[in-house]
Amino acid sequence: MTRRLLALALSLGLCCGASATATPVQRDGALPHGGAYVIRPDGSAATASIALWFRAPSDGYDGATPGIAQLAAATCAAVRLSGGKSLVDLVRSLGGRLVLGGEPDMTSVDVIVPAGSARRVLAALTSAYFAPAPDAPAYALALRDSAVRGVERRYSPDLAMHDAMLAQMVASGPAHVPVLPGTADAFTAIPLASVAAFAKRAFASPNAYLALAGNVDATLLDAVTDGDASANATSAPIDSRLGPAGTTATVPAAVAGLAYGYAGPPIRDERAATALDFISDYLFDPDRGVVSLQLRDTAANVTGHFLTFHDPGLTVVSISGGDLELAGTKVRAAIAGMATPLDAGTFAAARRAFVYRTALGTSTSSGLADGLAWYAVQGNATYAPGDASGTYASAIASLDPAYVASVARRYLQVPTIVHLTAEKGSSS
Amino acid sequence: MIAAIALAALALAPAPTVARGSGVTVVSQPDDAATLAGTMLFVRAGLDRQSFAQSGLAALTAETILQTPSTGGAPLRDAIAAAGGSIDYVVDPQSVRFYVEGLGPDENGLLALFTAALRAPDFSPATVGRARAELDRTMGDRTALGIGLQMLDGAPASGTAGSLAQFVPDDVRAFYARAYRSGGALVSTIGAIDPRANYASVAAALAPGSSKPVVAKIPSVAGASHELISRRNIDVPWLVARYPAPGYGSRDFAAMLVLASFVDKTLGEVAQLPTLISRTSADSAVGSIYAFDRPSANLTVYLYGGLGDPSQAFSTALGVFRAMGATAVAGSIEDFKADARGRFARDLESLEDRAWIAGVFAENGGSADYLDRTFASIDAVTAADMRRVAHRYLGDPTIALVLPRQGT
Repeated sequence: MTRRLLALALSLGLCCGASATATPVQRDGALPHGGAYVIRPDGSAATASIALWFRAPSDGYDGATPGIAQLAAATCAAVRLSGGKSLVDLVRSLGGRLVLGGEPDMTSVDVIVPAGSARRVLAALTSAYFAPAPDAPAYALALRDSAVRGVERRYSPDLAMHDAMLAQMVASGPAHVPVLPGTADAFTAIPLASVAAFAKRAFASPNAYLALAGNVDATLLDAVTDGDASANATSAPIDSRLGPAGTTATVPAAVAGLAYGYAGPPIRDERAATALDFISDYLFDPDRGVVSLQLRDTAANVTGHFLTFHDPGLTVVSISGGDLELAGTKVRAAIAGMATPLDAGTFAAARRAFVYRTALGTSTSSGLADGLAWYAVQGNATYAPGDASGTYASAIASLDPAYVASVARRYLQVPTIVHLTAEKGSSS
Repeated sequence: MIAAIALAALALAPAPTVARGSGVTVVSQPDDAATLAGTMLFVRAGLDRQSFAQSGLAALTAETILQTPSTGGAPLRDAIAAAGGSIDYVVDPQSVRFYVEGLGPDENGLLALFTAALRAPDFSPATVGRARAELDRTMGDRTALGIGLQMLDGAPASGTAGSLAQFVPDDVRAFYARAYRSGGALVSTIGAIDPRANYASVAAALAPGSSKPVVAKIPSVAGASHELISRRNIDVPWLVARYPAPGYGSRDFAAMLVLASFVDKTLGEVAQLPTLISRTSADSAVGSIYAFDRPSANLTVYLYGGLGDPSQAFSTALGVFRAMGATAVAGSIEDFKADARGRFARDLESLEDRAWIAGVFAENGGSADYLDRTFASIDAVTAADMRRVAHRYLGDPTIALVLPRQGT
């Protein structure tokens, strides 16, 4: 159904003045052979973004095959389709870009192409994944691709700490192991037959969430002709089980770093989750965050995010470079300070900045499509920042200094700590 | 079906408009789908308004405006952030481009803060000192590729620590008084903009009149080398070559966009990049940058030595580009044209990039329908066009080598 109509936007404009932002036009519904879609057209955009996401465990349905989801996604992208080209070759030939990604509980395929090319790509994309036919040549290419991505992830301080922190915080479930193992051997151990079986189950059309944004329109959905409506979908988000909080670990790694992790609320607690997004933005926005500004003249790099997973969400703060312990002291002090309510003026300015940066994150077609797909897979589609329902904006509006401080006291008290120590011969 | 047609109709983009009057051009791209509004002001106060001895003065002046005390005494950049927006600037060869962005309903208020500082910057030693410190701080981020580009540019856009140190507040004040004029100014607005607002008023904060570029008389030197070498504390070399190229107003513009795609593909092949599905760090080791938005437009190609000894591959690639002028591309050029369309479009994802490109196209009398015009021009490119443009531009590059210091 169309969630918002232009007439409503116009009436808002009449009520609030012509400068009021029009409510965006958004439509969602069911795909022809199962699965869900959401579409947000912007006819003035130069590009079309297509996000095809699946609810699937990154380590396989047996929970014992780390990396299989990414290997399967890569294999499907490399299979030659009926038109003669693989999906990745088609996207490249159109000057577009294809990005594979994922988290422990979901696999993502994101494509961005120039305006006018979306129909061909959507047909190929849904053919590649809804009717997967992995073969040996595609599997061989996917093995190389996954191995390189895994090694690069191992050498990325931010991602290496993300993986190490989740492994430390989570006792069991897909989040306990990296989405992309850091060695080629881990992938070559997965046979093609297993990849094919995983792809057939994980990428079945009823298990798909399709988000279209930018220079797109609803007629594109006619291009989705593949799929099997009788296949099973993973009906609920895939959660991992937390281990005890407050542990400390030292982990040998390719890069050195220090990370803090805190378990947070489930996605259904929208107000608390938004408060943690606000805190992450206020402290760790790369350009304007309080901690980022404190450390900008040092060699330390800090990132901090609240990861809005189904249950529980997780706050992860990562530090790399420079004096890790000194930077860590500042991070801990800043987080502890959030337990005391900000003064009214500081809070008002920080919230205005947060509103702007949230809008900025969804101001590109790819950012918007990604966000819509993420929150849908996590089981709360309308809560996505940028969703036309305005749910996230309402949650921001509901925040006040006392409530934000109470969330900090509840969820940011006892960190899990991971020290990454660079292995001999690795860069630090 | 009716809903689908309605949705498609609602998504139609309003056409960009260009209005010219009293020396100021205003480009508008209203976008009903946008939450944010952005406004870019082009002021003819770029690098060509400073002499070689004034390297960095244009950037220092622009940064001084962003450091000027605003609401509650906070620097303009902080005041705009606290009001729910952002401001930044880029120093180009001809212009300084300021970009102010915020939620649609907030944009006019943000612009009011900006125009107040633009109209009366604070040239006190404290404010100029903050501006200098900010430029000094961001200077440390230069990569080896950035060093190579800077060598070819002749001087860094934001100066050096040494050149910035020489300026006193009166130098900044004098540059502002001379160059910050409304003549030739352009305002490019985009997104959830207020149709009732007078965006030309942003440029009204500038004094009337125009400034002239500094003309440097550089004597020609017989036998001058086209090869620049710098040694830095890096592990592996970077090789950078720059060719002259047509500007966006040239009839050769689209053919050069297609050639840039050919150049990228050739570089990847001679560097023997692995064929993978995902873009990896190896892909960023080679590439090209087509700077078409400036009077001395250029095409820069680069190759990173982390993939092995790059000199042979680089030499091979430059040879291929030179040969392009004499021989036709083997096979179809349709893939290069499609790639060129995609690269052009993907560079225009953000509102800021779309405001910039519309402004660039509207300068010198062009219209603002940059996407349709460029796509149509690319579609019309032939193999003969590519050969002609390659022959004209890809013969004699200037090369910058950024090499490791000996012993490192």
